[in-house]
Amino acid sequence: MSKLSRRKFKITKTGYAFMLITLGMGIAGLNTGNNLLYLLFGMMLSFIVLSGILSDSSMRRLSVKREVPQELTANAYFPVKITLKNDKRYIPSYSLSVEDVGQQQDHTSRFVVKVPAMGTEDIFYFSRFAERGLKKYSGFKVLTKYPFGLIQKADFLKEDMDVLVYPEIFDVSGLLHSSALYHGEYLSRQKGVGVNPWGLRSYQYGDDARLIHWKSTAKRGDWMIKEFESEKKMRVILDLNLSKPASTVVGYSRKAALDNIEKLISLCASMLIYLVKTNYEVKMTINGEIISSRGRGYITNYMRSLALLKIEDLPPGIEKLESPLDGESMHILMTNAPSGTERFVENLAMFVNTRGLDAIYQELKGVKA
Amino acid sequence: MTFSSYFKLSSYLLVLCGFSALVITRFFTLFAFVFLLIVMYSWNREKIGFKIKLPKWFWNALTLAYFFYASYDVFFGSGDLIGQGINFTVYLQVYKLLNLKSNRDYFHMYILSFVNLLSASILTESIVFAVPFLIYIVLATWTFTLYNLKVQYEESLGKKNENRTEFYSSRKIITRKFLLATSLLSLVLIVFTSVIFFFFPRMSLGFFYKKVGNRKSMAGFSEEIDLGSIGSIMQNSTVVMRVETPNGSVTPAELERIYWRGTAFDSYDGKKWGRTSKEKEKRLIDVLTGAVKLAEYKPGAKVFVQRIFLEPLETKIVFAADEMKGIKWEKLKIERFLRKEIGVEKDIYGTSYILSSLSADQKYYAFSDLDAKTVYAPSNEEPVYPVRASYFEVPYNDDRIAGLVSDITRDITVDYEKAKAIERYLKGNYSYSDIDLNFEADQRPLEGFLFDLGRGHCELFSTAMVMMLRYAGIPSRNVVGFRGGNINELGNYIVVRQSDAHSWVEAYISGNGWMRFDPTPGAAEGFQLPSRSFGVLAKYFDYLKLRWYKYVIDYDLRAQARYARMFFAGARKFFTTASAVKQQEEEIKEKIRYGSGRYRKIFLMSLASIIVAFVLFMLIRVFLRRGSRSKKLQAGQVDFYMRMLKILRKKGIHKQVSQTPKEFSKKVLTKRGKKYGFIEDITEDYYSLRFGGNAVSKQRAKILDENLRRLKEL
Repeated sequence: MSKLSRRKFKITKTGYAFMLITLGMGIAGLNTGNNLLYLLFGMMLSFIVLSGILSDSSMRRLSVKREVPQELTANAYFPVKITLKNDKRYIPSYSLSVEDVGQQQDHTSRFVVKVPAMGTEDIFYFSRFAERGLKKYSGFKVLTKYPFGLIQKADFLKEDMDVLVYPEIFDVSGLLHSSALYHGEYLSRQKGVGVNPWGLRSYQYGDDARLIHWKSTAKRGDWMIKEFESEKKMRVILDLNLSKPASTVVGYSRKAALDNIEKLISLCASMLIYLVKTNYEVKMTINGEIISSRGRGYITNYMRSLALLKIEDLPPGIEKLESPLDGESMHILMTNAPSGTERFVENLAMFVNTRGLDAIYQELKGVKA
Repeated sequence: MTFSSYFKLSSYLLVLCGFSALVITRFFTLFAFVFLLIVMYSWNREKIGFKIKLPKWFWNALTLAYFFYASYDVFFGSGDLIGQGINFTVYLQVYKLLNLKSNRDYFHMYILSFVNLLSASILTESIVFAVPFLIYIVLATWTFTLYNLKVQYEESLGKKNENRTEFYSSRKIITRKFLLATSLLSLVLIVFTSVIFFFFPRMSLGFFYKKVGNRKSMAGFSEEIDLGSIGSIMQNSTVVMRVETPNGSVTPAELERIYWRGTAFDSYDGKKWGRTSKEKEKRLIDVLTGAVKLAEYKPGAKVFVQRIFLEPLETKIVFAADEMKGIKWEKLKIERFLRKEIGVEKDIYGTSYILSSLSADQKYYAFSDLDAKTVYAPSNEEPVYPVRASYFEVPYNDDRIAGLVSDITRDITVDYEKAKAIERYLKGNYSYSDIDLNFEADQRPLEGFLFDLGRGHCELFSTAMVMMLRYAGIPSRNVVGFRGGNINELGNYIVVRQSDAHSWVEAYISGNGWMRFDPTPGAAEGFQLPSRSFGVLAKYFDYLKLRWYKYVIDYDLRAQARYARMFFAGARKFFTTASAVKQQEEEIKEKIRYGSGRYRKIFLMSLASIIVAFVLFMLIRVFLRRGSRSKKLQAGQVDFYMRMLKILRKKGIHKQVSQTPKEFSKKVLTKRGKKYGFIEDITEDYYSLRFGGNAVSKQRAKILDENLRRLKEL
């Protein structure tokens, strides 16, 4: 929580009109010597003086705090809580407009009628960031015209806050369900506990007698035992291969190229979320680099990497498409490389490149998560 | 009340307050009534079915037409800029009231109400102005605060289509505390206003300025007066002037012998008095003393100093105790420089007229010699009358009057004695009557009075004596003015009212000049003219009025300097040792002519007001705290449950005697639904305090209060 400091002083339009009339009254008083005019002049001047004092007192010893959720995604509304605290012992703060200043989309100010002395007042509102990345809140613009709207006291409260905005998330269930991943074509390729038969082998000491395959035992004359395909999590590897547009690409084409990169990143993030949700073990590579999956918060790691991926750090071109991870897992390859680029990825469950990306994107937007 | 109800109420009250300020200066009753009707219609516009919906072009055309009419009237017609300006402002207000929609309309209405107040300040100097002025400050504080809240709220919403009714219909924004705080604010505003008022330097440059105030007309002091006009103004108890006597107070007996001379007349046509000469001679103030000398004092004369506060009158006559020898204004050099002519015009009848029409010039010091026209010095020289022939003229020859005069003055040779004999005759043989006398159509009033009715009012007495003196060959004139007055013990000043109006006689006595005679019976013995009784309340009000004139209307740079000096001298004195005090006292005494005790008094008074303000502040703080902070409740303190029952009773929910609190709360819940849920909490607290012998914590008590408040709002 930071405290308000130097306050900017501005006379409002009403204030100018009021002061002009006051000046007129003063001159009229001086000219005529009519004391009742002086009385009115005194009244108006008092209104101005009190405006200055009270607007200042309204802003004094006031502090503002912001709370936002820890995980934000681009283009999704999230709740923001702003707490105004008045540290003055006896005097409440009235009529405050608070504007949260940052890179978010929503910039309208919020109005607070009163913050009681030694009390707090909360404001809630919904906001959103349009793009992924590290975004900044720089502070609060607090202003008041209390009590008479003649003088506006404004202050900027510097409260730096960095928030990480993940890429935009879509519901990709439709897209993935139509892929080979969900068609049962791919097995886990591991023996283990499960129901799908994997094979038969000779009985070894210690094997569960219940798993003896009697038919083949009879046929072979040797104890044979059933093996099953493991039903543990299936592993999917998301391979993101991106290159930055060449510096010769300008104008609309450049914008389209950058747009495609963002769409691919967003798609990658959406798939990551969906696959994790549907119990897949997901690994991720970006331009051949394996993103660490250590620790419990590995998804956050992936999302962070996607959020912080800078276009200028991308390689200028992609010669061939490959994955540094084993070919036994399912791969979903996403790239902005030209269509004919060589692929060295086995078990490819899905391949997304810029061709048809717009169509996919349009469809996804229709069913935004 | 909701926010919007408060906002509407205070806005309308502000408009009414501005308008009432105007009404007290002009008294247009019908106009005010119509305006009130329009305000009432505007207030209920939403509720009543009948709606005045006139197209915008109509209003524009009407406004333009009215503007042109008003301009035409100002430039080519009546020339009454202020009057037309006020009418136009009121018209605009009516327009706004009938078309009140946006914030801007409200804002315009506030400006117009201020213009009303401003107009009133130009039109009046009366203390009555203080009432709408103070109310205006309180209402303006409320209204402007609410208006600003509304505007700032709407600005913060921008063009967003958020639901605004929640804000407007909220009862939590404007609470009792908020109103109290705002009212306190207006109190601070009043203090600030007074401080600025008293400290802002005063000047009166007087460019393009003509006082347009509501001056009271008063019959009897114009160029010509009908016989009976003094009698008619005597029916009126309006105050004409207030007089302070800086050199010591006057006893009631002394006051009865003071004649506040106005003007005099020389020609009488049988029905009315007039003047044959219009000559006037300018007497400007002496730049060094600021005074105008009107006549020389007789050797050994006693100077009677008066500080006169004249009410705004149409006449420019300088009233003062007879005989006025000099007049002085407390005006600044710069003002004298800027306004070329400050002084009086004096005519041959001994009347002085103020040159300027500024109200500030109606407050002056007058210096008089009360005995100048009554003390007779016998002279053996041959009488000479260096006066106009008109002082000898009679309108017609009436043998009866001539006979009467010769009877009265038989064997008397000295003019003064003759005059005294006539005065004595009239006093002794006729009686005073203030009722209107009806003479026959063909009868001359004077003859009717002298030979027929034998009674009349002072004008008849003075007219009769003037005529009789002229028959006796003594030059004489009829004088009008006021006699006596009332003493207001509160401020120790004299109040002279229209009912104190009087008419008397001046005769030219050779060797003595003009001498005063008053033939009205009882005059010398101090008879009571039919002046209205001066009740205690009226006394206080009049005292307040004088203060208002002295400290508000008549407050100027000189007074500012004087009070500042007094305050600082008082402060200095308060903090210095006794010997130093004495020394300083002497110094100050030399410098300014005010008593030493006064400094201490002023300083102590300032100090006392600061202490009183501080105590008030602390009391208010305690009051505010008491409302907000809930106290710990001890076992057995179950008033809150009674409060709850009372609130429920108001909502039509009654607890049967047979019901236990728990049964009752359950029944309310089943009947009224879950929103009454907190009744259970309150009941639980009740059980705990009433039967459990437990105390309730401060925190819990606060929740209890909150629950009761919520219950009330349901």
